[in-house]
Amino acid sequence: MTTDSEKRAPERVHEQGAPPGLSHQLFNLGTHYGLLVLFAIVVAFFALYGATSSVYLSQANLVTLLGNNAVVCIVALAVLVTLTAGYIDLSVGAVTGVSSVVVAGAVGNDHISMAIAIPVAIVVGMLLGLLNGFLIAKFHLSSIVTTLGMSTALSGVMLWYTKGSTIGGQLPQSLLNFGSLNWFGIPRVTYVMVPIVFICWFVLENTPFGRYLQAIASNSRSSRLVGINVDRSVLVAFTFSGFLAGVAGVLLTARSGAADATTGPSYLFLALAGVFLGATTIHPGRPNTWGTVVGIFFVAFVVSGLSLLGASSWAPDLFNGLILVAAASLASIFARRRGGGPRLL
Amino acid sequence: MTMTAECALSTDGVSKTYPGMRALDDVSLQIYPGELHALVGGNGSGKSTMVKLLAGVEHADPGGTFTIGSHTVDAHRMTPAHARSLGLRFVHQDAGVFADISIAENLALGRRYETGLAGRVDWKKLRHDATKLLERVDLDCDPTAILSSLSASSQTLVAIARALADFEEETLSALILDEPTAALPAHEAHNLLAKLRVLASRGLAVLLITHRLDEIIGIADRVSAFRSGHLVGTVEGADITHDKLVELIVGRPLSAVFPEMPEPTEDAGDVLTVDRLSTGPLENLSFSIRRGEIVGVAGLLGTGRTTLLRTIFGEVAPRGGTIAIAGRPLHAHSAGDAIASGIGYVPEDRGRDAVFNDLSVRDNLLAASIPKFWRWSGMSTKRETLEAGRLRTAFGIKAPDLSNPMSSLSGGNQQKAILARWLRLEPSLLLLDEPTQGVDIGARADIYAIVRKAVEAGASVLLVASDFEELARVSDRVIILRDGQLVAEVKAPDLDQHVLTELAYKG
Repeated sequence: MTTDSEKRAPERVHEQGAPPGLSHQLFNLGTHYGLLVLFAIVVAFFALYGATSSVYLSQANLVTLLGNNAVVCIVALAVLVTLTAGYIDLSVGAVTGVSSVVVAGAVGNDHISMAIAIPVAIVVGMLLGLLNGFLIAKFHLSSIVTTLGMSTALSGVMLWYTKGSTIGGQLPQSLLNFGSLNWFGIPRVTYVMVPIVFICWFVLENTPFGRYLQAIASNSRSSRLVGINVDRSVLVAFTFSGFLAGVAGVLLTARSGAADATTGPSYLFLALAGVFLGATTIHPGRPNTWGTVVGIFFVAFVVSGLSLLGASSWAPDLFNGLILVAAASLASIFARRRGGGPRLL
Repeated sequence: MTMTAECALSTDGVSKTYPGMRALDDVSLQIYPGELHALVGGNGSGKSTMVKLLAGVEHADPGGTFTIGSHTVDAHRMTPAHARSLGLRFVHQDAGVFADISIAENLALGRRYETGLAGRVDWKKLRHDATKLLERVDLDCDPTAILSSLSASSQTLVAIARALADFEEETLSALILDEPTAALPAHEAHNLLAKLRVLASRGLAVLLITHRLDEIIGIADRVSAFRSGHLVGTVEGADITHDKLVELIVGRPLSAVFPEMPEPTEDAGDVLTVDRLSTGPLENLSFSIRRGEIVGVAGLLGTGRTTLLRTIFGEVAPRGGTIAIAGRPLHAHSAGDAIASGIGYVPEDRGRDAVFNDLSVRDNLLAASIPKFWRWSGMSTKRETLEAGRLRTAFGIKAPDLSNPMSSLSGGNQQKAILARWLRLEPSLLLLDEPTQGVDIGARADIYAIVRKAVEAGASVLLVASDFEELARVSDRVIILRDGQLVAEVKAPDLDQHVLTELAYKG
């Protein structure tokens, strides 16, 4: 301890000696809003570049981007909720898939009323989240291992149920319309996404519960000793995450007009990229709601521009993979600057 | 001890300047062969800097010299290789030993594994060498045993044996240990120092850096004290007393460090009543604390001191007996229950159990009061910031910016923030487990001033401290735990560290 403080002391004197100059403030602005600036540059480039300028900022393209990414955004928020408490949930994609398959199977195949099928699908999502939370909070299992196992098992269940094909042949028109049409020029699914973003922001950053989750991510032993009910908070976080994944699954079925075993799980990667990108902005080093939304749409706008440029089918995967690693590295660097160490994964 | 004319190690006019700060100023220190020389000082006093300069990992300002045996080198030209070839050996605070592998392998890692045919490890030779090295430090154990099976002090001895591995008896040399006892309980520290004493008596010069004063009294031949980068004095023999050392380190007499605590009012009611409590190693423990009273708990490590506090705080379920707060039975099943009953707990291991390193100082200060800043429209960050600012002033926490992470504060200021976290709740009972561990002696004075203020305001305190001097000075009354029992209770005027030490070890 002595060694450490003596080693650090001179640096601290140095830091405090100089008042926060312009360069320091610029650096701070850069870490907080750098991604937004980059976002603006990317949009400006594709909007002005000859080959993409005609389509990129057209209403049709924007509406498609908004509609296609509403589901991904909610899945990302599901990842964010547990990550706020320091637990990574790799099963959100699979839970989204299960919820989507439940709706399509119940409504399309078994002709059960939507008024029953949709709440059931969401409750299934919550129960799966609760199960994850129970295993992790009560038995102190690693969240990566638990949710990876859960994800794989759920994928198996979906393959068995769907027999590997697309299900939900005769979905009611109202559900399909909700997935594909607009209200006032904005995709209807966006009207679900926006309140959910606000709810997540409010719950995670403006309620005692959100503070508990942040405290647990920082130090769960200290959290318990200041009176936070750590097990219950983790359980609630996973259940909330399951709820969000359940909602995302319903929207997924509405949007794609069917369900299969692979679409839901495929969203996990995009969601993770969005959350980690989000942790590099607004509150650098900490996963946060607005950052996550920015992250998701940043990736979407870049990929859209690249495909308008005529990039091959492998380009989005390459870009997504690189952006996840880059975002996770940057977020960890910011977290370490706050003294937290690499807590994100 | 005989002082030979030639020093084993001496520094002459050594200084070290960091940007904006003088870490060492013109230090001239002599260490003789056969001497156990302790180096003491508060955090930031420069003692660790001196070790780094000697080891050559940091470079001194030009001008000073080191003399090792008959070789004199410019202090600013010292390198690790140089230090090694001149016969200096270092054991750092984090001894760099590996708990899960055998003692022999730990020793071999310092050099290399002896190999036989085709690069195969020659285990037999490895064991043989290990046994010889362990003999040097008087450690009688099986070299094939896993290191973690040894006591903490013996593990440090293994690290010392490793440091001395290629040490030739005839090379005049010095062994330098940087806070080897920092993580050891008192009796383990004592064992280790006794072994160091034996090593020194064989002609080795041993330089021991420590901030635990009690352990070196009666064992060290000489003690040098650093304060703010200056060597403020070297004392020897009978002059090595606790009071003298504290005065050197702090620059003021000891009475100014521990404030006088107010006498508890005689007819005040009991705040805590523990009746026939059995928990952990403790059996049938009964005692009570009155309002405004500070009760110390003395006992060796493993006597259940911490378990007692954790049981009262609802973290450990007792096997039997009852706990009552202000006459009402306490059924705490979690920290939350205990907090609701007006109890606060400052745990022993601050880093592990109390701080949130990457959260802001503000969040750390208010961690036990989160729901109090909640309204329907969200957390009131404005009120939180105001309250955190008030606490910073009231508790004298040196934090330039409340939104900085907790890890940016020094240990002493972190501990003040933890105390502030609890005291803002105005608890009726404060459980303190080693509240001054790892903080320098100046911050220690601040911490006890804070405790005194809380007591004056009506709080009661149950205090666990391994430093019996501290315990005796701060407490109104001390209960002594031994072998699972409450064996004695000591009040002023009988209360002093010797009585406590005696009672804690043997009745």
